[in-house]
Amino acid sequence: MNSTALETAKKRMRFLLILSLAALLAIAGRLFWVQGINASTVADAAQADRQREEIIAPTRGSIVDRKGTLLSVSVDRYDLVIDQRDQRDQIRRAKRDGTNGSEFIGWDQAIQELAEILEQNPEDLAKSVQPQDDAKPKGYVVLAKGVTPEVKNEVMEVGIPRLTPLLRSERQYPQGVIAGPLLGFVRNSEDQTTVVGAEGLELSQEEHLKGTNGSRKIEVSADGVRIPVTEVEETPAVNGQDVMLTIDSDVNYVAQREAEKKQKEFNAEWVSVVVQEVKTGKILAIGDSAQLDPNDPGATDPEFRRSVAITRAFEPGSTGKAAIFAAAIDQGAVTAKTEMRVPNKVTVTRETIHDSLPHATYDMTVAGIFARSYNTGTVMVGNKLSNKERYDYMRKFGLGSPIYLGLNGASAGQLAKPENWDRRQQYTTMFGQGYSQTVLHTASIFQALANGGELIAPSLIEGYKNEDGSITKPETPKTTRVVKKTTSKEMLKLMEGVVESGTGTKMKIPGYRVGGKTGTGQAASDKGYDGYSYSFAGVAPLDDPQYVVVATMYRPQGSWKNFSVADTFTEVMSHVLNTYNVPPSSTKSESYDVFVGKEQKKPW
Amino acid sequence: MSQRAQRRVLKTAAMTAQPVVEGSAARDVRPEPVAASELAGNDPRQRVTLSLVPRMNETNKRSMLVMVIALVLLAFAVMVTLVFMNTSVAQRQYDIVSLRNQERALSQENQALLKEAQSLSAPQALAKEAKAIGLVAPGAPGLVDLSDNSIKKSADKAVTAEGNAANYATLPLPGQSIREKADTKKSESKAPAPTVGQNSKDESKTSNEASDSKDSTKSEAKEEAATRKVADDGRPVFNDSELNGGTIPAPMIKSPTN
Repeated sequence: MNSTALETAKKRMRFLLILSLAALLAIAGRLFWVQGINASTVADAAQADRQREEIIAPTRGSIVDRKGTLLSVSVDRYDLVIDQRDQRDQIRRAKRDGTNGSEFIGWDQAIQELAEILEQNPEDLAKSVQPQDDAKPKGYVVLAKGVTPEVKNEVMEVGIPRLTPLLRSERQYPQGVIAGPLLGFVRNSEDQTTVVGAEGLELSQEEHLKGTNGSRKIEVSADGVRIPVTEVEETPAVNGQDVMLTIDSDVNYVAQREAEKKQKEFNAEWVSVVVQEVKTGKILAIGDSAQLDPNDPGATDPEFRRSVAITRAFEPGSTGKAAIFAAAIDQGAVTAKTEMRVPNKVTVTRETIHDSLPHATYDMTVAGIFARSYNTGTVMVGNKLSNKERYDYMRKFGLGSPIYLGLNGASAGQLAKPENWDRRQQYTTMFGQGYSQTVLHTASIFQALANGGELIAPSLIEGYKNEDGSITKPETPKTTRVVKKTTSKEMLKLMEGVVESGTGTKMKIPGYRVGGKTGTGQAASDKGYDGYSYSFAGVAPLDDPQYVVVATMYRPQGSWKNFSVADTFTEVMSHVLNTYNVPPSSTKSESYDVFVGKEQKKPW
Repeated sequence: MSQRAQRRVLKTAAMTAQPVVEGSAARDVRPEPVAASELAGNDPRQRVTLSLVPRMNETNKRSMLVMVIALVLLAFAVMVTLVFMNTSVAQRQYDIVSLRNQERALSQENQALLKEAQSLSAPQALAKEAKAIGLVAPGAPGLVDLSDNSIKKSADKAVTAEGNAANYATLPLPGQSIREKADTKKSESKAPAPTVGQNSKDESKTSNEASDSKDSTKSEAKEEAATRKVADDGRPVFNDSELNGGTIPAPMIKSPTN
């Protein structure tokens, strides 16, 4: 080797050395950058690349009645979805006779089996399972929605490839129609995996029922398989709260049954029964004649998908006299024993008020006027107060404003301001005409009268049960004093007179002292007054009032003579008294005389 | 190296081991002892002696073999453990998945059973069952005053199933569609047949006569309903325009005509 060649070799070697050093330096520099300076960023990026976050869906809370009976509950259901692409001509599956090994079946057989399980027509099903007539195979075809886990398991055993069950939550109402319009119903969420409230309590209690999503963070390798030993970060889902109602499903059943029975009896437009606790204002039952099964809300007429007890305002008729008599007694304008000469016809400011039945002029007590429900007498009593005074009392009783129970569509009714009352309206409002209210308003008024004059806002929600079993109470309902305690006592005696010797003698319940007020109102349509509403609002037992039951029948048809909600009231009230073991009344009736003098039985 | 040093030490030891006195020439026989510290000083050129590693004997050979085997075994054990751990972790994953599935299956079964139980115990379902086995609603209860042991009110007899007009199974059962009911209701309303009679017919053939008689009373009532305006049983007849609110029958209010 000559010296030039040696020189060249040396040069090359040096060059290579420098190159290697440079490369080494670059790698070292990169290492320093990655490990030293930029370490956390790179680590985070790697972490983010590996990490997958799964959403853990919470279970929607149940709705239960006051005794814990499930009214609404969420269950697992599956949607069956098939991918039509890349399917082979035959299906290979595990043998279904329990032996090991596999077998091949054709698509026809598979579809036949599938159709039997899903109870569908095999021909229709085949159209979904396989692409039709050279159509492009679809990647996502829904074969069945909301099938039960058992059906899903059977379907999976058929072994059709690329048939996937998608889990979703579905709402069920095990009691069927019980309290249907109160519970409302749900609709599918946008992503179809769960449900959200659409109506009734399901809608208004959405925030409580829905719960909070949880999440699970796992790390996966490049091939998508989970790396086993990595730490799992899991935030558990918080399930929705159970909503506990004040409803008693048994009482509600009786209310619904009686309402439906009454509706059928007279072919009425609707009948509604409200049961309320006097001392707490809690709603025990709201029974409508039109049944809504929340499992299938579409089967019910849209008008009756909400409870008519809160959505339908009507002229109450004579039940409205209770508020006026209470106001007059509260103001000291009259007492229950104030004597009045009640004719068949009264003319005030050129307005003539008739009683429906011609009767002789009677010397009656105020209590008697209430018991016999004479309009003429009522006007004489009501006239002792100014329009403004009566209006203020009616407002305090809750008329003219909606009662919010957690159900949407609550009607406020109509109550015009006294300065807008016309000459006729100022008298008609005394006996329940010229303004409107719902059945629930009536119940609320009688609750106040029976509860020592204190109106407790009606409530439907007892509490919210958390996952740990603790119970969160809702806001305490507002309590308003409407009339004095003494007035309330007098009103109970007046109500007893109605049942003892007035218009409500059919509302007696053996063993209990019952008081209340009947009412017949005119039902208006766009053609004018062309129907009637019949109501009875009653309280029992009078020695210690516990429950208010209001039954209203709207637009009955047929024989007017039989129009009565008496049996509806007595049936529901006696059931409530029995169910809650209310001791029978041990005190004597405190009702007042109807007429002045000894003779109490005078023709109507 | 050690051999030589050993020898030297032995030599010193041999010297010191010699008896101090041997006859009369004791002092001459025994060499002058050399102090150890001075030895190095006296002989600065003497270096640290080297010695050969003792030759491996049979015992050493065996221990070496044991050691190698142990190491191999250890390595093997570690590998096996790792493999086992890996597979067990993987197995656990499968366990978790299968347990999750099991949990879901059980909770689904629970859901289904609970729903069935609740549906069976729904009031209208109970009412239907009760009716089917001939139960009827009780009459009004009797009242006993415990303070004076008197019977305030005797109980009413329950109306027997055949004569009981109350139909307690009117509401649709859970799972029963309202649609069907609405359809049947429509067809029924065209032909006005009383539902009470029909239902009792369905239940027992023996009550056919009773239901027939009920049918006739029902139709009488219908006729009466049709002629309600003229019918009069103590109450005065009045026309609809007079039914103007108030109680049953409704009162009215009229504006003066002039």
